[in-house]
Amino acid sequence: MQMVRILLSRAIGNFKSRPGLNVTSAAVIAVGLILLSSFWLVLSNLQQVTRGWIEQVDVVCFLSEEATPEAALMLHDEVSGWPEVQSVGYVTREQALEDLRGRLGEYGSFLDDLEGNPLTDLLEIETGRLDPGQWSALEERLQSKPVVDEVYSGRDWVERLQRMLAWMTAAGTVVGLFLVLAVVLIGGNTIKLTLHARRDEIQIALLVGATQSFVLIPFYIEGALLGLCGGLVAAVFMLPFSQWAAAILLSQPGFWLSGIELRPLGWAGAGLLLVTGVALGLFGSLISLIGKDRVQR
Amino acid sequence: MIQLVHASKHYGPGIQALSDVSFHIRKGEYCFLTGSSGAGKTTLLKLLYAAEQPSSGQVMVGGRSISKLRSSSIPFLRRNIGIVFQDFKLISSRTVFSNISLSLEVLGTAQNKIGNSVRRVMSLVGIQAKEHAYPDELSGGEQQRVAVARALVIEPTILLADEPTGNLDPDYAGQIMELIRQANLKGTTVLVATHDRHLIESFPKRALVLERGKLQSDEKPRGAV
Repeated sequence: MQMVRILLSRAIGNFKSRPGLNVTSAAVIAVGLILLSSFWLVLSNLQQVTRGWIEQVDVVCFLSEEATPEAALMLHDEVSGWPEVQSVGYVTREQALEDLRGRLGEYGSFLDDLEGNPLTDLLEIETGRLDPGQWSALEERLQSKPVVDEVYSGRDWVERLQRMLAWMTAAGTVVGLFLVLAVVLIGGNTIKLTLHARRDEIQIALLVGATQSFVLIPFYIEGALLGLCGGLVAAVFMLPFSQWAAAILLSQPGFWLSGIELRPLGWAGAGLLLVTGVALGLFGSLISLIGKDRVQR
Repeated sequence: MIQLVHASKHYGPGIQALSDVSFHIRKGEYCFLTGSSGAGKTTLLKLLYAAEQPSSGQVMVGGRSISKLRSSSIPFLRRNIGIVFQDFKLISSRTVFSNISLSLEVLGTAQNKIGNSVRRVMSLVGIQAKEHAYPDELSGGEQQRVAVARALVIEPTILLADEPTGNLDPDYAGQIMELIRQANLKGTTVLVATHDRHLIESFPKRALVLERGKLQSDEKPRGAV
């Protein structure tokens, strides 16, 4: 226990002895972690949103203007019996206009200036998870019905978005790896500089009977401390910033109309930043001290 | 306690620091190692605290052969040896107290015991008023006394001192030698390297005389059998 106290006090002494260098290094580590966590937040939110969309993609079946209510109800009953369909809703053109007016809220007043109702009756079809083949078959079957004017599912758009997301994830992973490498190298370099500045002290400690562990452990602790400071700064910055950014985005009409939920960095994410900072700082010091474990005589 | 058997040390071809040196210092003995500058005194001391390996022959300290000592065992050998270096080897960024306490910190000594031991030894060497000073703020003689205090604070089994009075005026030199004598009276084996013949005459003890890396003579103190 006494040795732990001595090692900790030596590590903190090391840390405090070069405040300028350590503050700069911790700041650079913090910037790296902020960029890393921002990437992760953007990607995970995009993935969350598109996952929701994929699960919720409904088929909207616009009926032709000539379709009578009886023909629409017949189609409604037929489609309800299809195995891949979970539910079908029949929306008249009047209801569709009212729904639109309701969604637009204060922006919906322009609808009063329209001459007549430009919308058509439609069926809102909810399905379970379907693979691309099942989607195509369902769309073709609907499109083949005489009362159907147009079938819209937005599947193509979601698939394009998914491809873009996959590309962004790959690019984000590469950038993330570079950021991790930068953080590790910065932490490691600081430890190397401290080690160099303290080489006389280390030599003297070895001469009076210090073990390798006694000499090296404070440097590992210092690396972890650097990472902890960087992680702490990143967490303190990202917690309010991500809340603020999410609030700003959600206040935009495009967002609140879509009903999308954004996830800012929570306490768990902040904790993860601290742990990541400590792990990267420790890893940096491990790398910088490779080969120093044989300096004894 | 300390034994050299045909020990030699050379640094590359043509640089022979020690040549075929043999002697035995018994436990609790007080001994001088003397000779002119460059005679090999510091090299011999380095062999004893395992900073160097003999090129040939045997160096035994506390019954252990230095050549056969594993790297991981060296710290444990050094923990029994108090060393006063010729250039003091004080850490400039640490206070006097902290320099002396380092020897106890590496042993994992409890903090309150470190405080008591360090202050006791600072008082012994007369530097208690300099507890918070840094080495650069001290005179050469004061730095010398800090180096002696650091060596004595661990109550070593063996004390190796390389020119321990080199920077001191005669009064302080006498005090330091008395401290070393006190340590010896408590059972510490002492080997003091010095080129100061006057010091050896003032403290008549066994003297090993080195010249050009060879042991020239092993002089017993006058009156000794």
